[in-house]
Amino acid sequence: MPKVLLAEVMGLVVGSLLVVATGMLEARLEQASLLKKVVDAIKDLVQDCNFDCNDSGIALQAMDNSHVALVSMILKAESFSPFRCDRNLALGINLTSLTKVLRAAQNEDILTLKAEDAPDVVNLVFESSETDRLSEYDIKLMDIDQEHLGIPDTEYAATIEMPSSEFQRICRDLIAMSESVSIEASKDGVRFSCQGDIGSGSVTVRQHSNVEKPDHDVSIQLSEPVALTFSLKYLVNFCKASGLSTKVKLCLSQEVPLLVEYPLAGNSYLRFYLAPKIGDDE
Amino acid sequence: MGVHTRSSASSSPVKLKIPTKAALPCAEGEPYSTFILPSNTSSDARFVLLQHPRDGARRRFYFCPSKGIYEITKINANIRDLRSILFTPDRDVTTLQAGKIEDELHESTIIGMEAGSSGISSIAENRPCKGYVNKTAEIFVATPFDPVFILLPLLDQSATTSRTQPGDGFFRPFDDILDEHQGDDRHLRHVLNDPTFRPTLLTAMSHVCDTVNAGDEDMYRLNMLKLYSYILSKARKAVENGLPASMEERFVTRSLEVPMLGVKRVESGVSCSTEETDAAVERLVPDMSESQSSIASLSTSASISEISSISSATSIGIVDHAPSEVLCHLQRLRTAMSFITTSYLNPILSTKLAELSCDSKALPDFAPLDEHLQHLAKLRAEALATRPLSDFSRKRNLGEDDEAAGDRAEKKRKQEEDDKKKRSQESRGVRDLKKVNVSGMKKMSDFFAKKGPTATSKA
Repeated sequence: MPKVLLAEVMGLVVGSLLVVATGMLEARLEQASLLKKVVDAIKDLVQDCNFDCNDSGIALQAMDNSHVALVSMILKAESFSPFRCDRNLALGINLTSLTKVLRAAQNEDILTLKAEDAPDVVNLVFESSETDRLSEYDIKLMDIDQEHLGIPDTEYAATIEMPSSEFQRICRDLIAMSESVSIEASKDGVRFSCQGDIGSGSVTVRQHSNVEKPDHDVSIQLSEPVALTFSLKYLVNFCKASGLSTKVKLCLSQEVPLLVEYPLAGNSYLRFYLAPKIGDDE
Repeated sequence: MGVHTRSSASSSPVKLKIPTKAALPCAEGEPYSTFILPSNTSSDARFVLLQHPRDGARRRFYFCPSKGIYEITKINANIRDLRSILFTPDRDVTTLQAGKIEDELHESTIIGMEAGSSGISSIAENRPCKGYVNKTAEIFVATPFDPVFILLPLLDQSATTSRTQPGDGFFRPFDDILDEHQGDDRHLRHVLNDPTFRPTLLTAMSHVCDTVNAGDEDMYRLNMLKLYSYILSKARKAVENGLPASMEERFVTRSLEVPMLGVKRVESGVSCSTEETDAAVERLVPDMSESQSSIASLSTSASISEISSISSATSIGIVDHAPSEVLCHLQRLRTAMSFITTSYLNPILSTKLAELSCDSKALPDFAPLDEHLQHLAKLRAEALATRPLSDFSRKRNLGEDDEAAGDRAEKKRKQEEDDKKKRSQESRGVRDLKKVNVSGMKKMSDFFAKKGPTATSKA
């Protein structure tokens, strides 16, 4: 009997050794486009950031250089098939470099992220199911000291859900007029307005539901009226994530950063936070 | 070395035309040179090659036993449009007429026209030596040259190098002094041994030498004090007649004017200008202007001394206040003296003279000028000390030595390299966001509490 026990112990040891040999992280995405779009959306806000990997998925939190905006992303394990991460890992990656490598992937390619324990590089494999083409890239990792902020779950005074393309259009239209936009949510609707050198302009959206085209629905939940001012340049920047989701959720409360959330499949999300402008200027 | 001159009776100085090396026969091959020479010179007048007293280089002089030595100066540099000279014959007067051509392309036309207008169809007659175009528009002008300057090198060498005090050394007869140096120099011997010229030489000697009568001949010894006062009297004369306008403007007027900018930092601008003698004249002249302009600039920043208050009040010209006038006169005198010593004395002698001008009290008094200059230098130092408050670029220059500056440059270069590298790592969007006006926007950390590095950091 002791021999059997020993054999079992041996087997465990061998098993864990095998795990080490095959790597700590292996995450396979059916469509490379998801990662491509996520990185595209973030890269213009953040230069380098840590991809924090644990068994629940891959998370990312980073601030822009001015620390007035924050991006928070979670790709849950469910978004991958399969996903395996044996130990917590922080992959510090320069997003410009990652963009360069991801350009080599087709949108439909199968993408696999791999990293070893205490890795120097992260390994990306692109497989084309059509042509059996297989390409493989390593990106050198970097040590990034980033402070993590604890973001509490907040009850927002106003939550607006609208088509992401509509929000993008509003931002792009208004930036032609001014650098900042004031968002006023009242029971009449949400008014995006701005005042610039050449004049002023505003766009108002109201609660709207279309049975035939649910993508065009606009829903506004309001507990109290809100009016805040934001930098349009940042908002336009956030809108680069529009391709990730048909819907966008805007959450506002007085004196609190605006939350712009792009929901992704499988409870994953990409969130942006932006500090409101306070003061007399503009 | 005969000189062929054809001078007009009326005008003086007279325009002459002579072949370069007095070789008329080969005139066809050699280009002519144009000289302006004194008229009424004796038939023994010669061109001679003598060592220039300043640098010992052999230059051409014009020597006339009765009228003295003339220095030859070439004039062409500052006449830009003058490209060539046209000579046309004139039937009535033997003098050659000089005309100027601005463009050589039109040479022949102009010759024809001028010949026609003077009533001679010289081109048509085709006589030899009729029209002549000199390609180089140089004119050589002979100006009087004090024989003292030719004698000085001889006297100075004969008064041995060991002597330091003025008046030291041996008295020697004139002929001994001459014999010692002229042996190898045919031209010099020609000048010095000319019997007609000898009295002039002796007078010159007496200007700068102590003399002792030893029996039938006079003995001579160089006296620095005499030389100094002789040169000073020359300078005085020059000042009395007025300095040339350019000199006056550059060294006197400008030094008392308010300069607008371009002040060069020259330490001890007080007397370096006049005492600097190693430098060639060309180099020394700008030096003087610099140091003096810096002195003048001082006066602008100072507000106390009488000089400064006067000079800073005028931007038009020299003020007629008494102290300033005295100062101007001294300045002119000093300018003239330094021009003479730097142009016609060898460096050793002019150094000696400069020392003398500082030491001697018997000599005309530069003390007020020096005092003022020193005072101004002090004020200038004070002005410099206060200037950094308002002028940061000067503060940087003043406050740091080269090494520190070099270090900083190196650091800056490195920083730039790093920045460049960093920039290539960041996307355009990130760069654009840096320009966004984030005033009135709080930082994220004001809203959300810091968690520190998350649990998902490296294992």
